[in-house]
Amino acid sequence: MIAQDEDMEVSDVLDRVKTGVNAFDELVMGGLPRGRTTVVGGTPGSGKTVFATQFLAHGITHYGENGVLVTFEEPPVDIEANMRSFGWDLPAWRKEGRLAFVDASPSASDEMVVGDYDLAGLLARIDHAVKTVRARRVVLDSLTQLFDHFIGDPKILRRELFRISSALKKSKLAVLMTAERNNEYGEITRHRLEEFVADNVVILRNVLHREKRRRTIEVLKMRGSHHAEGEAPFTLLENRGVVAVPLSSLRLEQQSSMVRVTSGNPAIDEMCGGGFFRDSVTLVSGATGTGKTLLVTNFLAGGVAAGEKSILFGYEESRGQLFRNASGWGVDFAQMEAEGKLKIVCLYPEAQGLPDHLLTIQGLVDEFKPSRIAIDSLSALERIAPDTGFREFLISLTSFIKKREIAGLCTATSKSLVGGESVSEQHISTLTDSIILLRYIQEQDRMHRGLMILKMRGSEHAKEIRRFTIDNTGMHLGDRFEDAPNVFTGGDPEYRR
Amino acid sequence: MIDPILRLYVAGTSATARRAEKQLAELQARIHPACKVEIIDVQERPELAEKSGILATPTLAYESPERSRRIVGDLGDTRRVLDFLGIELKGKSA
Repeated sequence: MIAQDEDMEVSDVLDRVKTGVNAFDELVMGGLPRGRTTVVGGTPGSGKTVFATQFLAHGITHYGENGVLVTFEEPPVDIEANMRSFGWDLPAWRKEGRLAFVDASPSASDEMVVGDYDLAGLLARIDHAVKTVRARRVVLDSLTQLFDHFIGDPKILRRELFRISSALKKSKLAVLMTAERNNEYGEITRHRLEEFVADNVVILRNVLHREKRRRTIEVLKMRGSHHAEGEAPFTLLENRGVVAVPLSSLRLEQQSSMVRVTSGNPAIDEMCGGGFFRDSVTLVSGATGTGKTLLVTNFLAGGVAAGEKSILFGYEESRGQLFRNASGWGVDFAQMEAEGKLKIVCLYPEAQGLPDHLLTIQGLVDEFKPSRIAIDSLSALERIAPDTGFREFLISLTSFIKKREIAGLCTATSKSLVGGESVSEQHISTLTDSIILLRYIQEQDRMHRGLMILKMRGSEHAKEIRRFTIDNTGMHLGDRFEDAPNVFTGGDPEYRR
Repeated sequence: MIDPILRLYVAGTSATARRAEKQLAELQARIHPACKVEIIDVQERPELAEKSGILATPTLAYESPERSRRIVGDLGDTRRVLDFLGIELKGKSA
C-alpha cells in the first residue's frame, strides 16, 4: 500500500490551496497542496473545527471551490449553529449546493462490532457527497471520534483510513483531517493517526502561560515542500474565524523612505536632522513624568497640522485624561477628532491578549488609514505578555507600521527615575529606527529634564543632551548640558565631576 | 404498524460482501416467522447509506418499531447475532 502511494509523487509543482488563514498560508509557502492529506492535531478547544470549517468556507466564498464536511462528532445542525458567529452561513451554502455534509456523528441505535469490516460505507457516502456538489475540498472532523466508535482492533481502522485518504487524494481533492491530542507538547495525535494518513501535519495549541491563553499554530511536517518553522500566534475572531499573526521575521522587505515628517516639535526635528522618516518607528523612553505623553501629543498634533491623519492607541490613560493633558499643552484633541483628523483609542491592556491587541491595531489602522500612529505605552502592553509573546508582538507591530508606510511613535517607561533601561527597551531598541531618551538630570541641587537622540537610523543626528522645560504651550528645548551627565546610570555621583 | 426488516449493507461484489450475504441467508433460515430482508449495495445506493448513517460494511441492521440495532463485521455466529438483534430463534431449542 505504501508503494502505491509513493507512485503518486508525480506532480512537480504542487497546486496550492489557500486556507483562508493568510499568515498560515505564508508559513506553508502559499497554501496546502492539492491531492494531499493534511492532519490538523490539537487538544479539545484548540480550534480544529474552526480551522477546518474556515478551509471549506474560504474555498466556497473566494475560489468557487465547493466542499464536503464529514462530521464524526457533532451533528451538522450543531456545526451550522456554532460556526454562524464566525460569519459562515453554512445552511445557505448547503441549500445552494456548494457544501454537503456527511453526517457520521454517533447515532442512537445500538451497535456491535465483530471481527473484520471495512469503511466502504463511509467512503461511498463521501464520494457521493463530493460528486453531488462537485467538491474540491474535503474535511473529516475528527478522526479520533471514529476510533471511539469502532473500539477494538485499531489496525483495521488505520488500514481503512489509509484507504480513504488514498482514494480522496487520487480524486485530486485537498483533504484536511482533524485529530485530537492529549497534551500540548506530547505525542502528535492520539492513536498516532498522522503516521499513516498524513502528508502534512499541523498542530494547533492552546496553552495557558502566566494566566493567559496563548493560541499558536505550527507546521510540523510538509511532505515534498518547504515550510516555515516555529509557532505562529493566532486568535479566534467573530466574523473572521482563525486569524494568525505572521511571523514577520520571515521577510524584511520594507522599503525605507527618505521622506521626513515632523515630530511636532521644530527643535527636535532639527536634532534628528530634519524630522522622523515617514516609514520609521521611533521609541521614546523615559521615566514617569518626563514628558513622553507630551511628545506623543506633539507628534499627533504635528501630523494633523500638516494635514495628515493620526491615530493614538493609549493603554495607560483614559480618553478624558489624554484630552485634559493635551489641552493643558494647548492642543485641542476634541476638535481634531471632530474634523476626522484624529482618532484616539483607549484600551485596558488586560482587556485582551497581545495577538488580539495587534489585530485591533491593524484593523483600526486599515480602517482609519492614518499617516501616523502612536502607541502609549509599550510598557503597559508588556505587563500582560508572556516573554516570547511580547517580542513577537513587537516584531509584528513594527513591520506592520513600516508596511503601511506610516510614521510610528511608541513610548516605553523606564523603571528608575534617573536613567536605566527597561526590558521593553532592550527588546525594542533593535527593532525601532530611532530612540529618544527623556531623563531627569540632577545639577547641583536642581532637577532638570534632559532629552537626547540615542539613535537615528539612516541619518545624522545631534549627539548632545538638551535640557527642556514644559509649560502650558508644550515642550521647550533649551541649552545643552555642559557638565555632561551620564544618562544611562543616572544620578550615580561617581559619574559626576 | 411497520413490519420489522433486516437490512444488510454491503460494498460491491467483494468476497466479504458475498460471505455476508451467505451468512444472512443462514440467519433467515432460522428466523420464524420470516422477516423481511433487504440487501443494499452502498456503492450503488450511497444516499441510502447516508440516510441510515452507515459507515462500515458489512452492517446488518434490524429495524423494528421497538428497537434499532446493528451488527458490523462478521455475521457468522448466528446465535450471537440473533441474540444481539433481539430476534427469537426458531424452535428456541437450538
